[in-house]
Amino acid sequence: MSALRNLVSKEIKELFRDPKILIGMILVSIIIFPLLSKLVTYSVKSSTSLGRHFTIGLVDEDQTPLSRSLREYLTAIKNVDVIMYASTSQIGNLTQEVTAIIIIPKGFQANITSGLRAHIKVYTTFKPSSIFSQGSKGTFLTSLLKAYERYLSVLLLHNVAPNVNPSTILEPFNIKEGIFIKGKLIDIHPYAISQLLINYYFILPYSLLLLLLVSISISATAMAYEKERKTLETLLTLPISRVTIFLGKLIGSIIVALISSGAYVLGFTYYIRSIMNAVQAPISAGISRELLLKLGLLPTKLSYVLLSIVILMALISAISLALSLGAFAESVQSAQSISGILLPFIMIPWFLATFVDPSSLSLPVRLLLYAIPFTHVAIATRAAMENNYLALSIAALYLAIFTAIILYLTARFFSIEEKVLSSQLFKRWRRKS
Amino acid sequence: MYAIEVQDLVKIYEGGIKALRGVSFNVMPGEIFGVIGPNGAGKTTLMRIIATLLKPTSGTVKVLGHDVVHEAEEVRKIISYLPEEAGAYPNLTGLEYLTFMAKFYTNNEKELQEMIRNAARICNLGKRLYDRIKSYSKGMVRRLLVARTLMMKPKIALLDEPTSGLDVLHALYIRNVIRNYAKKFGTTVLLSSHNMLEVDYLCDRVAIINKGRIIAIGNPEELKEKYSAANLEEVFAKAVRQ
Ligand SMILES: Nc1ncnc2c1ncn2[C@@H]1O[C@H](COP(=O)(O)OP(=O)(O)OP(=O)(O)O)[C@@H](O)[C@H]1O
Ligand SMILES: [Mg+2]
Repeated sequence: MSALRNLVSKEIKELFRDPKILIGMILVSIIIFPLLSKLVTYSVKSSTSLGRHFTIGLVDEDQTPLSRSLREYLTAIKNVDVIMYASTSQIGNLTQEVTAIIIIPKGFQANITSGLRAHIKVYTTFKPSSIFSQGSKGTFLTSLLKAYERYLSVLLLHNVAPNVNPSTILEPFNIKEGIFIKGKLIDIHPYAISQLLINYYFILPYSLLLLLLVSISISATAMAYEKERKTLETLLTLPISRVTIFLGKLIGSIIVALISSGAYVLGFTYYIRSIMNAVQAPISAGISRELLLKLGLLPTKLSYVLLSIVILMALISAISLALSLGAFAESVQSAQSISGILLPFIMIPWFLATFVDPSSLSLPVRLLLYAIPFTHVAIATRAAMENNYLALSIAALYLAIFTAIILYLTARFFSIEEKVLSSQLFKRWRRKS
Repeated sequence: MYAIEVQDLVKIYEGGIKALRGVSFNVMPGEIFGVIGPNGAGKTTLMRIIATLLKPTSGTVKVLGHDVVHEAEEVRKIISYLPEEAGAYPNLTGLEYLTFMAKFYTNNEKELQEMIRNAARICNLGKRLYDRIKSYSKGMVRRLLVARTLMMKPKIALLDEPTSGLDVLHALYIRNVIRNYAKKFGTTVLLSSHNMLEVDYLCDRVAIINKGRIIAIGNPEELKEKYSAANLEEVFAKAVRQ
């Protein structure tokens, strides 16, 4: 037991002091993501914030009382500056930077007074650097113009029917949205719910996939690393069993993978959340976890337990496979490419299982998909959301059997020392002859 | 009982190369036994088989009576092996490396500290033990590895070219350490070397291997007499050319 602990702690020390792992995985998550989210939040905020100034270039080709009223309306708004241009030909040599250009074409008033639809053209200034705020700029202007449109409608209605309240005609009813779930009507905006659930439906499966991939890449190189550093021969002659060495690698890889992908996921979650908060702040406020749980929209404790078993099994079998495959490689680099063989077996079924409804696939494809053990991790994540205990148990059972077989084979493989050493010896032989 | 008993050892590699073609010899407890021979003679192959890393094609090797194939785990508790081309974990410090290795041999804190003190004395790295191994020179790594091989006072030490890459002074120092270990603690040493001075100085008996066969065996003085040579180098040259 103490030999195992010794091996694991060495493994962790070595890996975390390896600059590639340290920089590549941990720093990226705890520095780049928060930084990125600050940036995005900032640019989103700065474009939507009321404190921001809008400068509008206005070309009034109509020159009528109505077009002038629009100009006065815009000028009256706080934070909006209006610069007048006599014609579109002047726009080319603008000196001042404008947020947008509004053109009121000729015939604006004439159309409206004769009962036809008039046009206003809005061009927002496009800069690749302000790609995030582009949409919100346009939205802001459109909402300004909509307000003006409403004001015009009221005015026109008033002229036609002075005794009627214009808003009952313009908006005879309100819409209140809610969701219908499991026979119950709930007054929650659907958008709010999906915003809350994105953590579970998107971030959780994504994190699991990441965890699997990270642990594979760490463990695939574990044996090759020993070979490259020429430490394997010594390790294999120590008074410890092969199985202990294998377990040391397995546990070390799992721990490092958990920590580094944990950091990554944390960073990423923070990033997604802060963007969403910046864009759509308070809609989801007021919906509690308890409510979601009661609605059966969140996994229960039992689901979590079953899902954890599935994840653990998948991790153990993936790492065992990667460890054995990687043992054939003589360098870390070739170990990495050898472990690449495993990736399609994880990624393809994963994406199929998350994005495609399995029942829509043809029977042979579906059977093939279900036969691949790692598909069941994706399936289990979905089943956990729906608290489908049967599906979860089947996934757990299937993965447990698969893992037991893999563990047995790997342990046997590692107890045949020549296999583990062979590629190294082979390399020596090639060099000498 | 012999410390090491090698009988009709044959090793044919997968590619068909015959590295050992029937090698037999015995090593007495407490003896320092040298294996010398030209490049590709089969010295490292022999060491690896005794160290349980390779399986013989035929023949047997027993270490204190334990078969290296069927009782490999037992054998590993007895031997301590210094590979010809070995490295250490670059991201650990020298001290961490020694501690890591020592922990496989004892659970007792006092014994552990004792082993580490031994190792520190052998490698003579001083304060550099607190530095990461990646900052060591080749010779410094070699000294660290020799120290780790001997620190637990093994019953049997297998040393494949122990002083390769060491400067003259450190090589001398390590040779003395090896000799003292054999004398003081009764450690049996099987070593290979290309340095005839070293072999002459250290070894009680020597086997000369060529092309997978032992072509001469005996103590250095006997061999010099038999080949009427002034030193082991001449013995080596004459034996191999025959
Ligand atoms: N993994 C291997 N596969 C095939 N042949 C090998 C392998 N390792 C060594 N050999 C061959 O076996 C023979 C003996 O090699 P070995 O390494 O035992 O020689 P050595 O006496 O240690 O040489 P040196 O003095 O160069 O260290 C050589 O012909 C070598 O090419
Ligand atoms: Mg050799």
